[in-house]
Amino acid sequence: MATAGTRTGRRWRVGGQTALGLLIVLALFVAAVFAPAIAPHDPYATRPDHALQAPGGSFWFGTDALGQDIASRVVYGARISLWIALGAVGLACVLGIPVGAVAGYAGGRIDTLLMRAADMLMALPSIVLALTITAALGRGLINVVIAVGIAESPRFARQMRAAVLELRERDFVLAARALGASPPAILWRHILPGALGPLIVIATLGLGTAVLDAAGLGFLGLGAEPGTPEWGTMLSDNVAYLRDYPWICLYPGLAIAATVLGFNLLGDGLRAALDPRSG
Amino acid sequence: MTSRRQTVRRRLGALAIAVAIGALAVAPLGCDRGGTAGGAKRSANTSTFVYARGADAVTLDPQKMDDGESVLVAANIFEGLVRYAAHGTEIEPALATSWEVSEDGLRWTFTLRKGVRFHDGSPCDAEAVVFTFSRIIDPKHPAHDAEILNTALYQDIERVQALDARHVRFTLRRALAPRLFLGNLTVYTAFIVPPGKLASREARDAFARQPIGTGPFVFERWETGQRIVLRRNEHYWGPKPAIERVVLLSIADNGARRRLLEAGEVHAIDGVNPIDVERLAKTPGVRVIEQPGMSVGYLAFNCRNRPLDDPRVRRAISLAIDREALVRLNFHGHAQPAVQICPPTVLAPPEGAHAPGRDLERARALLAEAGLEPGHEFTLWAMPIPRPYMPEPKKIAQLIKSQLAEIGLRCTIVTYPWDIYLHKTRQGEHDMCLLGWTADVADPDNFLFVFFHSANLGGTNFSFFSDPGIDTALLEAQTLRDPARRIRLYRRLERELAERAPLVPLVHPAQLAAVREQVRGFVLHPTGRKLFAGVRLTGRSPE
Amino acid sequence: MAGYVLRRLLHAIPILAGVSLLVVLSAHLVPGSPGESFVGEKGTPEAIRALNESIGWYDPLPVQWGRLVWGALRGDLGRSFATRRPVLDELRERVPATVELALAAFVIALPLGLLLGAVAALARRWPWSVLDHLTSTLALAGISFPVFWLGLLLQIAIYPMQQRLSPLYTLEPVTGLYVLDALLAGDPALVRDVLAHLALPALALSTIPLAVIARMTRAAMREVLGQEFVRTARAKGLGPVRITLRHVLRNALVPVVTVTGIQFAALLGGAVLTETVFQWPGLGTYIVEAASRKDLPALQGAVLVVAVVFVAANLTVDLLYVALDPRIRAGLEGRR
Repeated sequence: MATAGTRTGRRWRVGGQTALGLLIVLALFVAAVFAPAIAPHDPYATRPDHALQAPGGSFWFGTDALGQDIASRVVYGARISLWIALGAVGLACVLGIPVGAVAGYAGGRIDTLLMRAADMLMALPSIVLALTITAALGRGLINVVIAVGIAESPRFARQMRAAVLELRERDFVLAARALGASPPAILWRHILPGALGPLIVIATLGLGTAVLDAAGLGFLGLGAEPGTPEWGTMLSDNVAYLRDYPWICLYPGLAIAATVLGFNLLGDGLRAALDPRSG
Repeated sequence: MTSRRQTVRRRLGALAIAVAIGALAVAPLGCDRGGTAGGAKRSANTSTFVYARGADAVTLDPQKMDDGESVLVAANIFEGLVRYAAHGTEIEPALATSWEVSEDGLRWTFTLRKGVRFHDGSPCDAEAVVFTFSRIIDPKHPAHDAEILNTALYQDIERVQALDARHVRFTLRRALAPRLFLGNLTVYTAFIVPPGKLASREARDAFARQPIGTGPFVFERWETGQRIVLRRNEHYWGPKPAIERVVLLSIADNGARRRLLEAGEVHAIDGVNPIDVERLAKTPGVRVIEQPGMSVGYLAFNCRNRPLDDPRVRRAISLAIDREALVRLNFHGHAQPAVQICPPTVLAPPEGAHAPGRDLERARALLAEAGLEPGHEFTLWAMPIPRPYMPEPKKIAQLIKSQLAEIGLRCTIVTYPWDIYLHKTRQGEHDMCLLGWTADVADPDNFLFVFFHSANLGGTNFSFFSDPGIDTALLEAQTLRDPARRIRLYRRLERELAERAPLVPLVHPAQLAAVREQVRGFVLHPTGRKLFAGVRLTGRSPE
Repeated sequence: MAGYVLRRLLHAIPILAGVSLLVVLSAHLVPGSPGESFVGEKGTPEAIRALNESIGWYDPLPVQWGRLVWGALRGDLGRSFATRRPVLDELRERVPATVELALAAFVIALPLGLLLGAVAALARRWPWSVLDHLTSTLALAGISFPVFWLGLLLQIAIYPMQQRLSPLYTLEPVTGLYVLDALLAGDPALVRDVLAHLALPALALSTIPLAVIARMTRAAMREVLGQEFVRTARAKGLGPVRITLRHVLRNALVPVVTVTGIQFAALLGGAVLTETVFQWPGLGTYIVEAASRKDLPALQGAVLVVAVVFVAANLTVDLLYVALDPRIRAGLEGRR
């Protein structure tokens, strides 16, 4: 039982920070959907005569070594980041949730086996996993999505397993079982809805992690096709120019940080709203 | 050494208790302090030359090396029978003082320099020379290992025999152009090694970390990933180096290397990024050295893929590429647009020749003639990492992509991790790929034969170009003993290859280094070697 | 208790063998070969083949896996394909660098994180709650910044002011931990130099654990603050400082210890990006190099170290849990 004072405090916090998160995420969606309308220039056009221009004039954020407009590339980058994030988290859900559900519901050997495998994936540095996957499949957005999705999936498996273990012995589940419902039906109809809250929180936070991981891969040179306006790739391609032309790296980095912050704020707010214990 | 090993083992043990930070603080207190007697040393005096480069050596066994950083070290420790002159590519004596060739060009007899000894005191005699070359050319030789890579350069040598302690005879399978044969002997693979040190596999692995040669510097110490220290050879047969010690630092980051030079903490750096040249040149106390090298960055077509099997399409693409723009934007002016495949240091281009200009009209006409519809899509492969001949391959690819868009061709840029990139381009999975070459031998053969002879399909022939006429001409050029005729033949080959365009030579990048002002006698040799024997330091040194 | 630890350690062996299998599979699933990365653009197919043969690359995969595992069990991690040096020697050079960096990051992250978290937890009432919002948002921002980008920014922000950051070429390695080596050498200038080197990467690396620890401390303390016994203590008239120190912090420590342990393990294995940005010669850069060269023994060695640290950290966390929380200890002993 919290005192009256804290309660107001919490409401204010939830309101303020979640609203900021929501705002950032909305802005990201708007930038992604309306990129052609918002971006002042063609993000791919190279302009040899306008290389390395400082921010100002028609190039809000300046230009890079090939004379490409950084502002437009940052705006188009929102598209790519959003698509990577949604794709990777979607894949992590598709892979992780059924595994977690089976492990939790079946228990015993199967549980041990599946969770050992998840441990193995987590013991291997995620970057090695991602290195391998992108090396095998080649560069490209889809492969980044696959790499990040696989790396994130154990977290969903663990959360789902925990939820199953918690809900498995509840009355309504026992009742459904007594009525002869099949395990998949029980999992789908009774347990999944109960586990949804924490899963949504994890997914929202996972969107942020995915953006960060994808940028990290891009930075190691394993991201999208070279020249794609993906934020991490934009950073890694221009490290040599950092000292004398800092704007080339400043804006893509800011975009990554803001996006991840937005998802994290939103995820935190959702956690506070959906999970009364935290806060 | 043992005390260090124990300490580390103890530390690994402590690691297992991970979170107990206290344990880590205590462990070193228990360790033996004897090893610290040497303590920290600052290389302060004027007789130590500190040089920073981008990467560490891989091996110091000259027969096994293949990378510039290893060669840089080895070229100061080891010597071959002959060498290129300090400022050019004329061949001059080294461990051999003179040589004779038989009438039929098949037998070469070398007279070895008198009294030369390896750094361990053993004599550098005919036996050492025979051992070195047998190790290279004979796969069954007890000291031969799979890592000896450059065997192709010596495959025409049938036999090497000692006539006496100071005379060695090479018997060739076919007569070779003297400049080519002797040029091959200047390569690091042919540096002479002491036979006594290479008997077993273990001994050879140890030798690769603790090399013994005959050169002006003696190997002193190697801390992997950090530095290699060389000491002056007090018994050197030639003019003794002015500096006592060379410290070679590995500093991967271009920016960090440049900052060290600006701050006066090192005497010289190499691998200067073209965009940094202007800033460095303005830094007080720093001098930038720019020299033409022996490399080419190119775009190879896969001549087996439709529609690139049609020379008209290849020429159209060549005509659409703006080499000047590549040099300006990517090399910031510190490269020459390629006139031909061989760099001018290796084969002087015909007088008045200049890099092919852009001609979009003609390019479009050629495409139309070949019946290629606009909008055709190609894969354009770009290396994942900077190479000495192309510091920013992905940016080059983007520029070429936008230049080809102007004649209506579309490209998808493809890249893979380095080994996979090479694997897949060797399998011919590309339409066009960026690559390049830095020659070991200052001879057109080291470019044209390597790129275009059918024997190199699946190896260094990334264009998948195969033509019996060209093959024959390339082989003939290797044997021509009249230099003037040979050059005429290579010029003819260059013309023909420009017409058929299996690859587009793009640029010949300059070698860039920067030194503190007090450094004298530092030369960037066209072969890319950095020789420290002639370096002197005047006045104040770093620190 | 000892039986429990032993059982946990035995469980680790299949995980480690599995990790080693993943290493072998990962290198072979991907096209290319060690020989190709070794010879670069100059290679002939014959040279590549000979090289690969000499390291057993064409042996059946189970044989290669068995060779690695059998060697590792005997404490021999083999020789690196690329450098032909014993992997153990190379790890001895790399591991201390990573340990040092992780420790330094922790020296920054742990006290600051605890402090920020505690402040945020206690600052419940207006106007102090502003502090809470501020630290909470800062902590979130800490998690959100890409470490490599932060590293890059720190480099341009700080290097121009500190031109004299020298490389470590003047330092004789004794323990491999630069700070200790510098202290042992007894040269104050050197110590300053080394610390200056360590500061930037450690700072960049500390942001995430700092933020995580702060958040966890805040949440755990808030939960404890709402509990019965705290109100009892308050009713008994104990001062706020004593309540915080004796009751709240202590009881909030369990979850904090957990995240701390996991974060530390993550730092040891996961500093790949930070090490890359700062060219730190540690385990992270070693892994990237080995993976890019398909250097199986090197990759296995490095990844095993990371996996062992992961397992050890988990175990340590669990043991600390037991030590700190009487309820779990009772449960364990009851089971026995």
